[in-house]
Amino acid sequence: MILLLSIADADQESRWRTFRSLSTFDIIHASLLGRPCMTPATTAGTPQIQNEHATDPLGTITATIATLEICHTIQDVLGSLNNGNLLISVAQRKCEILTGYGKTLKQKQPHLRATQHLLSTSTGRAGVVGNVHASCTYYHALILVTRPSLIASLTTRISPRESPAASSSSFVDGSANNLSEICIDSAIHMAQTCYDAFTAGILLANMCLLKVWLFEAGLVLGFAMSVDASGHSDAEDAYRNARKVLKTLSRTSSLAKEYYDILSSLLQAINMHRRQKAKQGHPQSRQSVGRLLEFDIGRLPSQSSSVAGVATQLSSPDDARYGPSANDLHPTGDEFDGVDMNVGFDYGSEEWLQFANQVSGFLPMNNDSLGLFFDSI
Amino acid sequence: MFTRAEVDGYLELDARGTLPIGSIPSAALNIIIAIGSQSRMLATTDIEIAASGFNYGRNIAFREQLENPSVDLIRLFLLMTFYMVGACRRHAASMYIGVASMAASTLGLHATEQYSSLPPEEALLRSQ
Repeated sequence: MILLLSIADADQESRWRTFRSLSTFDIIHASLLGRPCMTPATTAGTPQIQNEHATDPLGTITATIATLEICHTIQDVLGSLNNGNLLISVAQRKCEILTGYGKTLKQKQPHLRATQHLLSTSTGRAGVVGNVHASCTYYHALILVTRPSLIASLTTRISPRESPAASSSSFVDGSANNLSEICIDSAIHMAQTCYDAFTAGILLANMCLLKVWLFEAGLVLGFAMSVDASGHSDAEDAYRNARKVLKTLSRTSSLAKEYYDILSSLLQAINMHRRQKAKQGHPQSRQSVGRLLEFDIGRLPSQSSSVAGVATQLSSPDDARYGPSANDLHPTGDEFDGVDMNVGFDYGSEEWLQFANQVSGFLPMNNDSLGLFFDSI
Repeated sequence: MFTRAEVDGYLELDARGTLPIGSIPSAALNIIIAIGSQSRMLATTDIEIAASGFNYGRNIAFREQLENPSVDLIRLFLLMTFYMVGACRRHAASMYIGVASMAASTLGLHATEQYSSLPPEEALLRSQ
C-alpha cells in the first residue's frame, strides 16, 4: 500500500514529473516502432500539481501536459493499431476527441505562436521547440488513428472493382474518406510545423523524434500524391519541405539520410507514375484539421545573407542550432522534379514495381510493419 | 523530467567538486551533457564527449543500482533511453525504457491518487 500523505509536495512533483516524462516518451516511442507500451496507465487520470504552473511563464508545462493528454489517446488505441483492427467508428471518435482538444488548446494557450521576440531568447526558443514537439505529437496521433482509412481509401481509388472496402458502409457514407483527408491534412501541418521551426533556425543538429515524424508525414503525403495524379500543391510543398529538413538533419544522422533517400526515391517514382497515368485530380481544401503552432516571424534577416553559417560556424552551445542553408531556402525547381536523384533507377521495369510494393508496405493497416521497417535499417 | 534548478544545482556541486563520484546525480549530469553534445554535434570532440559521458553514466546505472529502484534511477534510465534514440539504437532504447517503466511500476508512480494536492492543514490532520 502506498502511504500517500507521507510524500512531501516537492517529492510529489518530482515523482509526477518523472512519470509524465516516462509515459510520454514511452508511448511516442512505442507508437513509432509498432511495439507495446510498457509504462502502466495512470489509475486516476492526470493530477494537477499546483507549484508547476507558478513557475511556467512560457507555457512549457502546459505544452508538456498537452503532450501527455494526446499520448493517452494514442495509448488507448495502440493495441488495436498494432493488431491492425482499429474500427472506423473508434478512429472517428478519437479524431473528434483530438481535434476538439486541439481547438481548446489553441484557445487557451496564447503561447502557440512563435514570434520573433520569443525566438530572441534561449528560454523562448526552448519553449517553442517544446511546442513544436507538442504539435507534432498531436498530428502524429491524428495520423495514427486515420492512416488505416487513408490506406483503404487510396487502395479503393487505385482499384475500385477489386477492393472489398469499396462497398463497405464507411465508404458509402464518406466517413473513411473524411478520415483520410484528416490524415493528409495532419501530415501537411506536421511537415510545415517542422519546416517553420527549421527556417526559424531553432532546430538542433540531432532531432531524434522530429526526423521520424518528418518521415512519417512524408510517407503519408507521398502515398497520397502517388494516387492522386493531379496533386495537391500544399501536400507537394509540405513533402518538399520535409525532405529539405531531413536533408539537413542527415548531416549528423545516418537514419535521417536513410529517410531522405527513401523520400527522394519515392518522389521520383511518383513523378514517373504521374507521367504514365496523366490523370486529372481535384484540388482539396485543407480545413478538416487546424494548425496548432503558428510561426509569426517572417524571414529572419540573417537568413538572406549568411544562413549557411548557422549550422556550421557557431561555436557556443546556445547557438548550436540547425537552420536552413542558402540552397535550402532557394531550391531549384529541378530538386522537386527529382532529375538529379538516383539516375540509375529504372522506373519502367520490375524494379519500379518492387519499389512501389516496398513503399506501400511502409503504410500498412498493421502498424507493426512500420516497426519491422525501422528494424531493417 | 529535470527542472533547470536541479541541473544548475548538479553543475554547481560538480564545479565545487562536491558532487559524489559514482552517485546517480553525477551519472545523470554526465548523460545530460552527453545528450547535449549529441544534439549539437558541431565537431568530432562532441562525439567523444557524448560517448564518454554516456559510458560513465551507464556504468553507474548498472553498478548495483538496479536492485534499488528510485525516482533518480528512473530518470537516469530515461536519459539513457533518449541518448540511445538519438544514436539510432532502437533496441537498446527499448530495453532501457523497459527498465525505467518497471521501476516506475514498482514504486507506484502510476497511482495518481497520491498526487492529489490537499491543503496543508488537511494533510497534517490526516497524517495524524
